[in-house]
Amino acid sequence: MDKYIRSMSFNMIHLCIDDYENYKIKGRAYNNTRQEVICFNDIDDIFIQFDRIFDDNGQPQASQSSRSFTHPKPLGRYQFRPETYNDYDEFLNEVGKKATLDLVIKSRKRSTWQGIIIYNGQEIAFDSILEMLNYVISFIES
Amino acid sequence: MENDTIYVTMFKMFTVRFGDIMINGDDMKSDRLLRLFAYLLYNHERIIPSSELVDMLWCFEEVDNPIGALKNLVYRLIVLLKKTFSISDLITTGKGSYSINKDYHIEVDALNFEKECQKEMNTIEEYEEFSCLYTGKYLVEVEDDHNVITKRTYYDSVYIERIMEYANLLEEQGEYAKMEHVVKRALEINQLEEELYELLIRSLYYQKQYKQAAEMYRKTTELLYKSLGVKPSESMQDLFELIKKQSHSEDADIIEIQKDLAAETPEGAFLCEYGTFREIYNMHSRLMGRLGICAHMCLVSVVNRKPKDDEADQKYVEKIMEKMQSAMLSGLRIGDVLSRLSVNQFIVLLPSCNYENSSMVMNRVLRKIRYSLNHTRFDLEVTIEEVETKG
Repeated sequence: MDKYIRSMSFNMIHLCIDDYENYKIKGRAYNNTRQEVICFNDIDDIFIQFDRIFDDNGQPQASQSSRSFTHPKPLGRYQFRPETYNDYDEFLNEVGKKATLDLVIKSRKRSTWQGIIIYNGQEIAFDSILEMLNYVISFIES
Repeated sequence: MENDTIYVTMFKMFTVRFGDIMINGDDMKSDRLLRLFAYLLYNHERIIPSSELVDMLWCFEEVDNPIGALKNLVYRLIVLLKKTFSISDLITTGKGSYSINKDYHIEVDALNFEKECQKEMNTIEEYEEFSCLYTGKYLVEVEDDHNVITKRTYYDSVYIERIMEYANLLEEQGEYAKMEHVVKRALEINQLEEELYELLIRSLYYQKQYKQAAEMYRKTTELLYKSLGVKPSESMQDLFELIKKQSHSEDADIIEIQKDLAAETPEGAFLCEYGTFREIYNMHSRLMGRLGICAHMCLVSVVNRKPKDDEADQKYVEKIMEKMQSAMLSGLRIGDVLSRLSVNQFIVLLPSCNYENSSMVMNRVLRKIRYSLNHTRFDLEVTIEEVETKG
Protein backbone atom coordinates (compact mmCIF):
# COMPACT_ATOMS: atom_id res chain seq x y z
CA MET A 1 0.00 0.00 0.00
CA ASP A 2 2.90 2.35 0.62
CA LYS A 3 3.66 2.68 -3.07
CA TYR A 4 0.11 3.91 -3.74
CA ILE A 5 0.18 6.31 -0.80
CA ARG A 6 3.44 7.74 -2.12
CA SER A 7 2.32 8.16 -5.71
CA MET A 8 -1.45 8.59 -5.79
CA SER A 9 -2.94 9.03 -2.33
CA PHE A 10 -5.32 11.68 -3.73
CA ASN A 11 -7.05 8.85 -5.66
CA MET A 12 -7.39 6.63 -2.61
CA ILE A 13 -10.46 6.13 -0.44
CA HIS A 14 -10.22 4.86 3.11
CA LEU A 15 -13.54 3.08 3.63
CA CYS A 16 -14.86 2.37 7.13
CA ILE A 17 -18.00 0.23 7.04
CA ASP A 18 -20.01 0.59 10.22
CA ASP A 19 -23.29 -1.09 9.36
CA TYR A 20 -24.52 -3.69 6.91
CA GLU A 21 -28.15 -4.78 6.75
CA ASN A 22 -30.19 -6.09 3.81
CA TYR A 23 -27.39 -5.17 1.43
CA LYS A 24 -27.39 -1.60 2.70
CA ILE A 25 -23.87 -0.52 3.52
CA LYS A 26 -23.36 2.47 5.80
CA GLY A 27 -20.21 4.07 7.01
CA ARG A 28 -17.56 6.74 6.55
CA ALA A 29 -15.07 7.48 3.81
CA TYR A 30 -11.89 9.51 3.91
CA ASN A 31 -9.90 11.11 1.12
CA ASN A 32 -7.01 13.53 1.60
CA THR A 33 -8.26 16.06 -0.98
CA ARG A 34 -11.21 16.70 1.32
CA GLN A 35 -11.02 18.01 4.85
CA GLU A 36 -14.43 16.67 5.86
CA VAL A 37 -15.42 13.08 6.51
CA ILE A 38 -17.73 11.70 3.87
CA CYS A 39 -20.60 9.80 5.48
CA PHE A 40 -22.74 7.49 3.40
CA ASN A 41 -26.06 5.73 4.08
CA ASP A 42 -25.71 3.42 1.14
CA ILE A 43 -22.81 2.45 -1.03
CA ASP A 44 -24.27 4.37 -4.04
CA ASP A 45 -23.50 7.55 -2.13
CA ILE A 46 -19.83 6.75 -2.24
CA PHE A 47 -19.81 6.40 -6.01
CA ILE A 48 -21.78 9.57 -6.62
CA GLN A 49 -19.84 11.67 -4.12
CA PHE A 50 -16.44 10.45 -5.16
CA ASP A 51 -17.23 10.80 -8.85
CA ARG A 52 -17.82 14.48 -8.06
CA ILE A 53 -14.60 14.66 -6.06
CA PHE A 54 -12.60 13.13 -8.89
CA ASP A 55 -14.28 15.46 -11.40
CA ASP A 56 -13.31 18.44 -9.22
CA ASN A 57 -9.75 17.16 -8.84
CA GLY A 58 -9.51 16.56 -12.59
CA GLN A 59 -8.18 13.06 -12.02
CA PRO A 60 -8.55 10.26 -12.62
CA GLN A 61 -10.18 11.53 -15.78
CA ALA A 62 -13.49 9.91 -16.70
CA SER A 63 -13.69 8.54 -20.23
CA GLN A 64 -17.29 9.53 -20.54
CA SER A 65 -19.06 12.70 -19.46
CA SER A 66 -21.79 12.46 -16.84
CA ARG A 67 -25.25 13.10 -18.20
CA SER A 68 -27.73 15.30 -16.45
CA PHE A 69 -31.22 16.68 -16.96
CA THR A 70 -29.98 19.96 -15.58
CA HIS A 71 -26.81 21.85 -16.43
CA PRO A 72 -23.93 19.61 -15.33
CA LYS A 73 -21.21 21.03 -13.14
CA PRO A 74 -18.14 21.83 -15.23
CA LEU A 75 -15.22 19.42 -14.85
CA GLY A 76 -12.18 20.57 -12.92
CA ARG A 77 -8.99 20.99 -14.89
CA TYR A 78 -6.65 18.03 -14.86
CA GLN A 79 -4.20 18.23 -11.99
CA PHE A 80 -1.18 16.01 -11.88
CA ARG A 81 -1.16 16.25 -8.08
CA PRO A 82 -4.37 17.70 -6.62
CA GLU A 83 -4.02 19.64 -3.41
CA THR A 84 -4.20 17.45 -0.31
CA TYR A 85 -5.07 18.44 3.25
CA ASN A 86 -3.92 15.42 5.22
CA ASP A 87 -1.40 12.67 5.19
CA TYR A 88 -3.18 9.51 4.10
CA ASP A 89 -1.48 7.60 6.93
CA GLU A 90 -3.58 9.54 9.45
CA PHE A 91 -6.75 7.90 8.10
CA LEU A 92 -5.40 4.44 8.78
CA ASN A 93 -6.26 4.91 12.46
CA GLU A 94 -9.95 5.11 11.52
CA VAL A 95 -11.59 1.72 11.70
CA GLY A 96 -15.05 0.56 10.62
CA LYS A 97 -17.28 -1.56 12.91
CA LYS A 98 -17.89 -4.15 10.23
CA ALA A 99 -14.90 -3.80 7.91
CA THR A 100 -12.12 -1.42 6.94
CA LEU A 101 -10.53 -1.31 3.53
CA ASP A 102 -8.76 1.04 1.10
CA LEU A 103 -9.56 1.66 -2.53
CA VAL A 104 -7.09 2.92 -5.11
CA ILE A 105 -8.99 4.31 -8.09
CA LYS A 106 -6.65 4.15 -11.08
CA SER A 107 -9.03 5.01 -13.88
CA ARG A 108 -12.66 5.74 -14.68
CA LYS A 109 -13.31 4.06 -18.00
CA ARG A 110 -16.63 2.86 -19.43
CA SER A 111 -18.47 4.97 -16.84
CA THR A 112 -17.18 2.79 -14.02
CA TRP A 113 -14.11 2.53 -11.82
CA GLN A 114 -10.99 0.43 -12.15
CA GLY A 115 -8.40 0.02 -9.45
CA ILE A 116 -7.21 -1.98 -6.45
CA ILE A 117 -8.90 -3.00 -3.18
CA ILE A 118 -6.52 -3.34 -0.23
CA TYR A 119 -7.94 -5.48 2.58
CA ASN A 120 -6.01 -7.23 5.32
CA GLY A 121 -2.74 -6.77 3.45
CA GLN A 122 -4.18 -8.25 0.26
CA GLU A 123 -4.32 -6.29 -3.01
CA ILE A 124 -7.13 -7.26 -5.37
CA ALA A 125 -7.63 -5.62 -8.74
CA PHE A 126 -11.13 -4.78 -9.93
CA ASP A 127 -12.40 -3.68 -13.31
CA SER A 128 -15.80 -2.28 -12.41
CA ILE A 129 -17.80 -0.91 -9.50
CA LEU A 130 -19.95 -4.04 -9.50
CA GLU A 131 -16.89 -6.25 -9.16
CA MET A 132 -15.58 -4.06 -6.38
CA LEU A 133 -18.94 -4.21 -4.60
CA ASN A 134 -18.96 -8.01 -4.74
CA TYR A 135 -15.60 -8.08 -3.03
CA VAL A 136 -16.67 -5.57 -0.37
CA ILE A 137 -19.78 -7.59 0.48
CA SER A 138 -17.74 -10.79 0.67
CA PHE A 139 -15.32 -9.09 3.12
CA ILE A 140 -18.21 -7.90 5.30
CA GLU A 141 -19.93 -11.27 5.29
CA SER A 142 -16.80 -13.28 6.00
CA MET B 1 25.40 -14.51 -92.08
CA GLU B 2 25.53 -11.36 -90.06
CA ASN B 3 23.57 -9.49 -92.72
CA ASP B 4 20.71 -11.86 -92.14
CA THR B 5 20.57 -11.32 -88.41
CA ILE B 6 17.41 -9.79 -87.01
CA TYR B 7 17.75 -8.26 -83.57
CA VAL B 8 14.62 -8.30 -81.48
CA THR B 9 14.02 -6.63 -78.13
CA MET B 10 10.96 -7.62 -76.14
CA PHE B 11 11.98 -6.05 -72.85
CA LYS B 12 11.07 -2.41 -72.16
CA MET B 13 9.97 -1.84 -75.77
CA PHE B 14 9.27 -4.18 -78.66
CA THR B 15 11.69 -3.43 -81.48
CA VAL B 16 12.85 -5.34 -84.52
CA ARG B 17 16.06 -4.27 -86.22
CA PHE B 18 17.33 -5.54 -89.52
CA GLY B 19 20.39 -3.80 -90.87
CA ASP B 20 19.98 -0.06 -90.25
CA ILE B 21 16.22 -0.13 -90.10
CA MET B 22 14.21 -0.56 -86.95
CA ILE B 23 10.48 -0.83 -86.26
CA ASN B 24 8.65 -0.83 -82.96
CA GLY B 25 5.19 -1.52 -81.61
CA ASP B 26 3.79 1.76 -82.92
CA ASP B 27 4.81 0.88 -86.45
CA MET B 28 2.80 -2.34 -86.22
CA LYS B 29 -0.37 -0.22 -85.95
CA SER B 30 -2.28 -3.21 -84.60
CA ASP B 31 -2.12 -5.01 -81.31
CA ARG B 32 -2.94 -8.33 -82.94
CA LEU B 33 -0.26 -7.87 -85.58
CA LEU B 34 2.30 -7.14 -82.89
CA ARG B 35 1.27 -10.21 -80.90
CA LEU B 36 1.50 -12.42 -83.97
CA PHE B 37 4.92 -11.11 -84.96
CA ALA B 38 6.24 -11.32 -81.38
CA TYR B 39 4.97 -14.88 -81.02
CA LEU B 40 6.55 -16.00 -84.29
CA LEU B 41 9.88 -14.42 -83.37
CA TYR B 42 9.83 -15.86 -79.84
CA ASN B 43 9.18 -19.33 -81.25
CA HIS B 44 11.39 -18.89 -84.28
CA GLU B 45 13.05 -22.26 -83.75
CA ARG B 46 9.93 -24.27 -84.46
CA ILE B 47 6.99 -24.60 -86.83
CA ILE B 48 3.82 -23.26 -85.25
CA PRO B 49 0.46 -24.84 -86.15
CA SER B 50 -2.24 -22.38 -87.26
CA SER B 51 -4.52 -23.64 -84.50
CA GLU B 52 -1.95 -22.57 -81.90
CA LEU B 53 -1.76 -19.08 -83.40
CA VAL B 54 -5.55 -18.84 -83.56
CA ASP B 55 -5.82 -19.83 -79.88
CA MET B 56 -3.22 -17.26 -78.93
CA LEU B 57 -4.77 -14.42 -80.95
CA TRP B 58 -8.48 -15.02 -80.40
CA CYS B 59 -8.48 -16.87 -77.09
CA PHE B 60 -11.68 -15.45 -75.63
CA GLU B 61 -13.33 -14.25 -78.79
CA GLU B 62 -15.77 -15.77 -81.26
CA VAL B 63 -14.41 -15.55 -84.80
CA ASP B 64 -16.35 -16.75 -87.84
CA ASN B 65 -13.42 -17.91 -89.88
CA PRO B 66 -10.33 -17.97 -87.65
CA ILE B 67 -8.05 -19.60 -90.21
CA GLY B 68 -9.05 -17.01 -92.79
CA ALA B 69 -8.53 -14.21 -90.28
CA LEU B 70 -5.10 -15.58 -89.43
CA LYS B 71 -4.19 -15.82 -93.12
CA ASN B 72 -5.18 -12.19 -93.55
CA LEU B 73 -3.13 -11.13 -90.55
CA VAL B 74 -0.05 -12.99 -91.77
CA TYR B 75 -0.49 -11.35 -95.18
CA ARG B 76 -0.55 -7.92 -93.52
CA LEU B 77 2.61 -8.78 -91.62
CA ILE B 78 4.41 -9.88 -94.78
CA VAL B 79 3.37 -6.63 -96.51
CA LEU B 80 4.71 -4.60 -93.57
CA LEU B 81 8.03 -6.46 -93.55
CA LYS B 82 8.40 -5.99 -97.29
CA LYS B 83 7.65 -2.28 -97.04
CA THR B 84 9.97 -1.71 -94.08
CA PHE B 85 12.86 -4.12 -94.48
CA SER B 86 12.42 -5.04 -98.14
CA ILE B 87 12.22 -8.71 -97.19
CA SER B 88 9.31 -10.96 -98.16
CA ASP B 89 10.57 -14.38 -97.09
CA LEU B 90 10.88 -13.98 -93.33
CA ILE B 91 7.57 -15.76 -92.70
CA THR B 92 7.30 -19.27 -94.10
CA THR B 93 3.89 -20.79 -94.77
CA GLY B 94 3.52 -24.54 -94.32
CA LYS B 95 0.61 -26.98 -94.37
CA GLY B 96 -1.61 -25.55 -91.66
CA SER B 97 1.36 -23.85 -90.04
CA TYR B 98 3.67 -20.84 -90.05
CA SER B 99 7.27 -20.32 -89.06
CA ILE B 100 10.24 -18.00 -89.31
CA ASN B 101 12.57 -18.72 -92.20
CA LYS B 102 15.61 -20.54 -90.80
CA ASP B 103 17.90 -18.68 -93.21
CA TYR B 104 17.57 -15.73 -90.91
CA HIS B 105 19.35 -15.64 -87.60
CA ILE B 106 17.11 -14.23 -84.89
CA GLU B 107 18.51 -12.73 -81.70
CA VAL B 108 15.79 -12.21 -79.08
CA ASP B 109 16.71 -10.56 -75.78
CA ALA B 110 13.98 -12.43 -73.90
CA LEU B 111 15.32 -15.79 -75.08
CA ASN B 112 18.88 -14.89 -74.09
CA PHE B 113 17.56 -13.83 -70.71
CA GLU B 114 15.63 -17.06 -70.33
CA LYS B 115 18.79 -19.10 -71.05
CA GLU B 116 20.68 -17.17 -68.37
CA CYS B 117 17.83 -17.73 -65.89
CA GLN B 118 18.58 -21.46 -65.97
CA LYS B 119 22.24 -20.96 -65.03
CA GLU B 120 23.55 -20.96 -61.49
CA MET B 121 25.25 -17.75 -60.45
CA ASN B 122 27.90 -17.29 -57.83
CA THR B 123 30.08 -14.34 -58.69
CA ILE B 124 29.44 -10.62 -58.92
CA GLU B 125 30.46 -10.65 -62.59
CA GLU B 126 27.87 -13.31 -63.42
CA TYR B 127 25.13 -11.42 -61.62
CA GLU B 128 26.15 -8.14 -63.22
CA GLU B 129 26.00 -9.66 -66.69
CA PHE B 130 22.61 -11.15 -65.94
CA SER B 131 21.17 -7.93 -64.52
CA CYS B 132 22.09 -6.04 -67.70
CA LEU B 133 19.98 -8.41 -69.81
CA TYR B 134 16.69 -7.33 -68.28
CA THR B 135 16.07 -3.75 -69.35
CA GLY B 136 12.35 -3.55 -68.69
CA LYS B 137 9.13 -5.51 -68.51
CA TYR B 138 8.26 -8.02 -71.22
CA LEU B 139 6.08 -6.76 -74.11
CA VAL B 140 4.57 -3.83 -72.24
CA GLU B 141 2.64 -2.91 -75.38
CA VAL B 142 0.45 -5.98 -74.96
CA GLU B 143 -2.13 -5.75 -72.22
CA ASP B 144 -4.66 -8.53 -72.56
CA ASP B 145 -2.72 -11.57 -73.69
CA HIS B 146 -2.65 -14.32 -71.07
CA ASN B 147 0.50 -15.83 -72.55
CA VAL B 148 2.32 -12.48 -72.45
CA ILE B 149 1.18 -11.67 -68.91
CA THR B 150 2.37 -15.06 -67.67
CA LYS B 151 5.79 -14.62 -69.25
CA ARG B 152 6.04 -11.03 -68.02
CA THR B 153 5.32 -12.11 -64.45
CA TYR B 154 7.78 -14.98 -64.69
CA TYR B 155 10.64 -12.89 -66.06
CA ASP B 156 9.98 -10.17 -63.53
CA SER B 157 9.98 -12.54 -60.58
CA VAL B 158 13.17 -14.29 -61.70
CA TYR B 159 14.85 -10.92 -62.21
CA ILE B 160 13.81 -9.65 -58.78
CA GLU B 161 14.97 -12.87 -57.16
CA ARG B 162 18.37 -12.68 -58.82
CA ILE B 163 18.74 -8.99 -58.04
CA MET B 164 18.06 -9.70 -54.38
CA GLU B 165 20.66 -12.47 -54.42
CA TYR B 166 23.06 -10.07 -56.13
CA ALA B 167 22.38 -7.31 -53.62
CA ASN B 168 22.82 -9.71 -50.68
CA LEU B 169 26.13 -10.88 -52.15
CA LEU B 170 27.29 -7.27 -52.50
CA GLU B 171 26.19 -6.62 -48.93
CA GLU B 172 28.22 -9.61 -47.70
CA GLN B 173 31.24 -8.28 -49.51
CA GLY B 174 30.76 -4.77 -48.18
CA GLU B 175 30.14 -3.25 -51.63
CA TYR B 176 27.39 -0.94 -50.44
CA ALA B 177 27.68 1.73 -53.11
CA LYS B 178 27.39 -0.89 -55.84
CA MET B 179 24.51 -2.46 -53.95
CA GLU B 180 22.73 0.92 -54.00
CA HIS B 181 23.36 1.29 -57.74
CA VAL B 182 22.11 -2.21 -58.57
CA VAL B 183 18.94 -1.86 -56.54
CA LYS B 184 18.19 1.62 -57.93
CA ARG B 185 18.47 0.23 -61.44
CA ALA B 186 16.05 -2.57 -60.55
CA LEU B 187 13.64 -0.05 -59.04
CA GLU B 188 13.47 1.82 -62.33
CA ILE B 189 11.78 -1.28 -63.71
CA ASN B 190 9.88 -2.33 -60.58
CA GLN B 191 8.62 0.61 -58.59
CA LEU B 192 6.36 -1.39 -56.29
CA GLU B 193 8.67 -4.09 -54.99
CA GLU B 194 8.99 -3.45 -51.24
CA GLU B 195 11.94 -5.77 -50.75
CA LEU B 196 13.98 -3.75 -53.23
CA TYR B 197 13.28 -0.59 -51.27
CA GLU B 198 14.37 -2.35 -48.12
CA LEU B 199 17.66 -3.30 -49.79
CA LEU B 200 18.14 0.27 -50.98
CA ILE B 201 17.51 1.69 -47.53
CA ARG B 202 19.90 -0.85 -46.07
CA SER B 203 22.61 0.09 -48.56
CA LEU B 204 22.20 3.76 -47.58
CA TYR B 205 22.29 2.81 -43.92
CA TYR B 206 25.56 0.91 -44.38
CA GLN B 207 27.02 3.91 -46.16
CA LYS B 208 26.05 5.96 -43.09
CA GLN B 209 23.71 8.11 -45.20
CA TYR B 210 21.11 8.09 -42.45
CA LYS B 211 19.16 11.15 -43.60
CA GLN B 212 18.79 9.79 -47.12
CA ALA B 213 17.86 6.39 -45.69
CA ALA B 214 15.17 7.94 -43.48
CA GLU B 215 13.88 10.02 -46.38
CA MET B 216 13.74 6.97 -48.63
CA TYR B 217 11.83 5.09 -45.92
CA ARG B 218 9.25 7.88 -45.75
CA LYS B 219 8.86 7.98 -49.54
CA THR B 220 8.51 4.20 -49.66
CA THR B 221 5.86 4.20 -46.94
CA GLU B 222 3.86 6.81 -48.82
CA LEU B 223 4.19 4.95 -52.11
CA LEU B 224 3.11 1.67 -50.56
CA TYR B 225 0.03 3.30 -49.04
CA LYS B 226 -0.96 5.11 -52.21
CA SER B 227 -0.31 2.30 -54.68
CA LEU B 228 -0.92 -0.91 -52.77
CA GLY B 229 -2.77 0.19 -49.65
CA VAL B 230 -0.33 -1.60 -47.38
CA LYS B 231 1.89 -0.47 -44.55
CA PRO B 232 5.62 -1.34 -44.42
CA SER B 233 6.61 -4.84 -43.32
CA GLU B 234 7.97 -5.55 -39.83
CA SER B 235 11.52 -5.87 -41.17
CA MET B 236 11.25 -2.43 -42.84
CA GLN B 237 9.97 -0.92 -39.62
CA ASP B 238 12.81 -2.56 -37.65
CA LEU B 239 15.30 -1.14 -40.14
CA PHE B 240 13.83 2.31 -39.65
CA GLU B 241 14.29 1.96 -35.89
CA LEU B 242 17.98 1.23 -36.48
CA ILE B 243 18.30 4.28 -38.71
CA LYS B 244 16.63 6.51 -36.14
CA LYS B 245 19.02 5.29 -33.43
CA GLN B 246 22.06 5.80 -35.63
CA SER B 247 21.03 9.30 -36.63
CA HIS B 248 22.61 10.67 -33.47
CA SER B 249 26.35 11.14 -33.07
CA GLU B 250 28.01 9.41 -30.13
CA ASP B 251 28.44 11.15 -26.78
CA ALA B 252 26.04 13.95 -27.58
CA ASP B 253 25.48 16.13 -24.52
CA ILE B 254 22.11 17.06 -23.12
CA ILE B 255 22.13 20.60 -24.56
CA GLU B 256 22.75 19.29 -28.07
CA ILE B 257 19.98 16.74 -27.65
CA GLN B 258 17.60 19.40 -26.42
CA LYS B 259 18.46 21.67 -29.36
CA ASP B 260 17.92 18.81 -31.76
CA LEU B 261 14.60 17.89 -30.19
CA ALA B 262 13.42 21.50 -30.13
CA ALA B 263 14.39 22.09 -33.75
CA GLU B 264 10.93 21.38 -35.07
CA THR B 265 8.21 23.97 -34.42
CA PRO B 266 5.04 21.97 -33.85
CA GLU B 267 1.92 23.06 -35.64
CA GLY B 268 -1.27 21.07 -35.42
CA ALA B 269 -1.38 17.32 -34.91
CA PHE B 270 1.65 15.08 -35.21
CA LEU B 271 1.67 12.99 -38.38
CA CYS B 272 3.78 9.85 -38.34
CA GLU B 273 4.07 6.45 -39.93
CA TYR B 274 2.37 3.49 -38.30
CA GLY B 275 5.41 2.06 -36.48
CA THR B 276 5.94 5.35 -34.65
CA PHE B 277 2.21 5.63 -33.93
CA ARG B 278 2.29 2.23 -32.30
CA GLU B 279 5.15 3.27 -30.02
CA ILE B 280 3.39 6.49 -29.05
CA TYR B 281 0.22 4.50 -28.33
CA ASN B 282 2.14 2.09 -26.08
CA MET B 283 3.78 4.98 -24.26
CA HIS B 284 0.39 6.60 -23.64
CA SER B 285 -1.05 3.32 -22.34
CA ARG B 286 1.70 3.21 -19.75
CA LEU B 287 1.38 6.88 -18.79
CA MET B 288 -2.38 6.86 -18.46
CA GLY B 289 -2.40 4.53 -15.44
CA ARG B 290 0.27 6.55 -13.72
CA LEU B 291 -1.12 10.00 -14.46
CA GLY B 292 -4.84 9.29 -14.26
CA ILE B 293 -5.59 10.58 -17.75
CA CYS B 294 -7.90 9.08 -20.33
CA ALA B 295 -7.28 8.84 -24.07
CA HIS B 296 -9.26 7.74 -27.05
CA MET B 297 -8.33 6.31 -30.42
CA CYS B 298 -10.34 7.05 -33.56
CA LEU B 299 -10.39 5.08 -36.78
CA VAL B 300 -11.54 7.19 -39.71
CA SER B 301 -12.46 5.26 -42.85
CA VAL B 302 -13.51 6.36 -46.30
CA VAL B 303 -16.31 3.99 -47.24
CA ASN B 304 -17.56 3.39 -50.77
CA ARG B 305 -21.27 2.45 -50.65
CA LYS B 306 -21.33 1.14 -54.22
CA PRO B 307 -17.82 0.10 -55.12
CA LYS B 308 -16.95 -0.10 -58.79
CA ASP B 309 -13.38 -1.23 -58.35
CA ASP B 310 -11.92 1.02 -60.99
CA GLU B 311 -9.07 3.50 -61.18
CA ALA B 312 -11.36 6.52 -60.99
CA ASP B 313 -12.69 5.36 -57.61
CA GLN B 314 -9.17 4.82 -56.29
CA LYS B 315 -8.10 8.28 -57.37
CA TYR B 316 -11.16 9.83 -55.75
CA VAL B 317 -10.50 8.00 -52.48
CA GLU B 318 -6.90 9.26 -52.55
CA LYS B 319 -8.17 12.82 -53.03
CA ILE B 320 -10.50 12.49 -50.06
CA MET B 321 -7.67 11.07 -47.96
CA GLU B 322 -5.46 14.05 -48.79
CA LYS B 323 -8.22 16.48 -47.77
CA MET B 324 -8.81 14.56 -44.56
CA GLN B 325 -5.14 14.58 -43.68
CA SER B 326 -4.96 18.30 -44.22
CA ALA B 327 -8.13 18.93 -42.18
CA MET B 328 -6.98 16.76 -39.30
CA LEU B 329 -3.45 18.17 -39.21
CA SER B 330 -4.74 21.69 -38.90
CA GLY B 331 -7.89 20.97 -36.87
CA LEU B 332 -6.52 18.69 -34.14
CA ARG B 333 -4.39 19.74 -31.17
CA ILE B 334 -0.60 19.76 -31.04
CA GLY B 335 -0.52 16.71 -28.74
CA ASP B 336 -2.79 14.62 -30.98
CA VAL B 337 -1.22 11.93 -33.15
CA LEU B 338 -2.26 10.94 -36.65
CA SER B 339 -1.15 8.09 -38.87
CA ARG B 340 -2.18 6.71 -42.23
CA LEU B 341 -3.21 3.12 -41.67
CA SER B 342 -4.21 1.99 -45.15
CA VAL B 343 -5.34 3.21 -48.54
CA ASN B 344 -8.64 4.43 -47.05
CA GLN B 345 -8.07 4.75 -43.29
CA PHE B 346 -6.45 7.05 -40.76
CA ILE B 347 -5.86 6.26 -37.11
CA VAL B 348 -5.88 9.11 -34.59
CA LEU B 349 -4.80 9.21 -30.94
CA LEU B 350 -6.48 11.85 -28.77
CA PRO B 351 -4.85 12.05 -25.33
CA SER B 352 -6.72 13.64 -22.41
CA CYS B 353 -9.96 13.44 -24.30
CA ASN B 354 -13.10 11.68 -23.13
CA TYR B 355 -15.52 9.90 -25.44
CA GLU B 356 -17.91 12.79 -25.94
CA ASN B 357 -15.14 15.26 -26.66
CA SER B 358 -13.44 12.85 -29.05
CA SER B 359 -16.68 12.45 -30.95
CA MET B 360 -17.23 16.21 -31.03
CA VAL B 361 -13.68 16.91 -32.19
CA MET B 362 -13.72 14.40 -35.03
CA ASN B 363 -17.14 15.55 -36.21
CA ARG B 364 -16.01 19.15 -36.18
CA VAL B 365 -12.78 18.44 -38.05
CA LEU B 366 -14.40 16.25 -40.69
CA ARG B 367 -17.70 18.10 -41.07
CA LYS B 368 -16.78 19.97 -44.24
CA ILE B 369 -15.45 16.87 -45.94
CA ARG B 370 -18.53 14.88 -44.96
CA TYR B 371 -20.72 17.62 -46.36
CA SER B 372 -18.83 17.58 -49.66
CA LEU B 373 -19.49 13.83 -49.96
CA ASN B 374 -23.26 14.22 -49.56
CA HIS B 375 -24.35 13.35 -53.07
CA THR B 376 -21.62 10.85 -53.83
CA ARG B 377 -21.22 7.13 -53.20
CA PHE B 378 -18.63 7.83 -50.53
CA ASP B 379 -18.97 8.45 -46.83
CA LEU B 380 -16.77 8.78 -43.77
CA GLU B 381 -17.04 6.37 -40.85
CA VAL B 382 -15.55 7.25 -37.49
CA THR B 383 -15.09 4.59 -34.81
CA ILE B 384 -13.94 5.63 -31.34
CA GLU B 385 -12.39 3.32 -28.77
CA GLU B 386 -10.77 3.95 -25.43
CA VAL B 387 -7.04 3.45 -25.06
CA GLU B 388 -6.43 0.57 -22.68
CA THR B 389 -4.19 1.23 -19.70
CA LYS B 390 -1.08 -0.82 -19.12
CA GLY B 391 0.23 -1.07 -15.58
